[in-house]
Amino acid sequence: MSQAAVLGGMREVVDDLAVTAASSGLAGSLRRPPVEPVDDPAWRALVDELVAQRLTGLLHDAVLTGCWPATSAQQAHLGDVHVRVLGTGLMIERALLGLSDAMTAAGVDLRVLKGLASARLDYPRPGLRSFGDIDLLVRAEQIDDAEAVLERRGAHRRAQPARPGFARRFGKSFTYVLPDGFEADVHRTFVMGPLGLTVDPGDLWGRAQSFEIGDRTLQTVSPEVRLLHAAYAVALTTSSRNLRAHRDLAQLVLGGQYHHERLVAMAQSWQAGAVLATAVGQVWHTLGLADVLALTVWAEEYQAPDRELRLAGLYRRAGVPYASLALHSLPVLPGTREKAAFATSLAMPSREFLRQRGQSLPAYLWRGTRRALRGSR
Amino acid sequence: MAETSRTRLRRASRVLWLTAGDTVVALAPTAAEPAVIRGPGAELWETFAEAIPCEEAVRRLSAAYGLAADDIRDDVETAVDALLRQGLLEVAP
Repeated sequence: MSQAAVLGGMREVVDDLAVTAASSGLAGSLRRPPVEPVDDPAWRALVDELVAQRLTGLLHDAVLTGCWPATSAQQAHLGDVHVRVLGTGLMIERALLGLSDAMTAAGVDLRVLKGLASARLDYPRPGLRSFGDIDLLVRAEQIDDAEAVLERRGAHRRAQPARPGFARRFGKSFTYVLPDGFEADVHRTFVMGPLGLTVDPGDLWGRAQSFEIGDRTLQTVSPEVRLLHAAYAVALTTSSRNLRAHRDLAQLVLGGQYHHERLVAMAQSWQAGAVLATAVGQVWHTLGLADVLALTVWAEEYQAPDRELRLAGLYRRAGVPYASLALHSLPVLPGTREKAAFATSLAMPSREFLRQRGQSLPAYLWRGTRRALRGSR
Repeated sequence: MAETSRTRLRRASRVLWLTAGDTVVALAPTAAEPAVIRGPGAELWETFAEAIPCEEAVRRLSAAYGLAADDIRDDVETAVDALLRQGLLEVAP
């Protein structure tokens, strides 16, 4: 057998093991760990994959409780890796606390998103879910203030916006690199393109949920919003499977902190009912979950309107270019002025933006048009 | 140890920490990197969840491990000194 075939075969085995690890500890999962320790190359590849997926804690817990067989050397290896992962997580939490203090002092409202909040709120113990960066939600009208705080703290922006103010009006998020090397993703909404623009800011900034890091209290969005955010991460990507988003969604659904009717109404108002139904079905299938809940029944029976299916389908095409999503954003923007401003931002990007990409304006426009048309077929 | 025998010690208030099995990973507010505390050190960390004198920690660990307090006192005091130096423990008011 060729080396490529051998490696390809091992990749499939490791991927399957990673999914099983991602379902570890969920009583309703029908997936089962291996009956004996896997070989060392597969073990190392599995641990590497779980580091990337931010889920080493689940495997570590499973091994310690005797639910997952491992040799003592493998157990020691995993222990060392997981301790390093936890240490990095604590450094990121400390960075978050400093950033939160600075934002609060500047009057910038914050909600902590994704792993930093999920680990503390949705998992039995925080160490089970790790994270690699800081995700924050900021009000659109305060994005400039948030950027000023970051820059005063010595952070630099990873990429230039198409035009000044684009992130505040139309963007999904932007990334700053903090002096210690960690990244802070500042979000205005959850996804780029039309399904990011249909998210109601009133829902994002409505009910909040508190959680503790050390002796400090921070805020995140409501359980319904967190569940939808996880659903977006599960359903709206064609890149390599986001197992942590799968597990986050499972934890949120099984944890039952959300209000079912409120969640469904919110999803439909965001034109994301199809996204939610698809995500729940996908998570339940992937993680082998047998639990039957009101939400799983709803997901199975939901008849999504054509518009929801079209919007969700835009994102699930392999390699969908941003230009195509941008084109489909125009119909959901309210009013002629917003549409014109959006189109102008993309058609007339700033010199800084072009310089960073190494493109002239004609080349940028030609490339964008070609991609938009290709993505629309 | 500089503190008197009645000085109460506790986990420092701004320390962030997590456990993984019998290992504690702890980060003091100004530390350059996290500290990793294993085995009996992790048990010692547990005892300082509330403010107690060092001698009480010795007593609790001797009971937990079935060892005479005199046999473990020096090791416990050495470990406590290290945790104090790293900013992971503090003197309780």
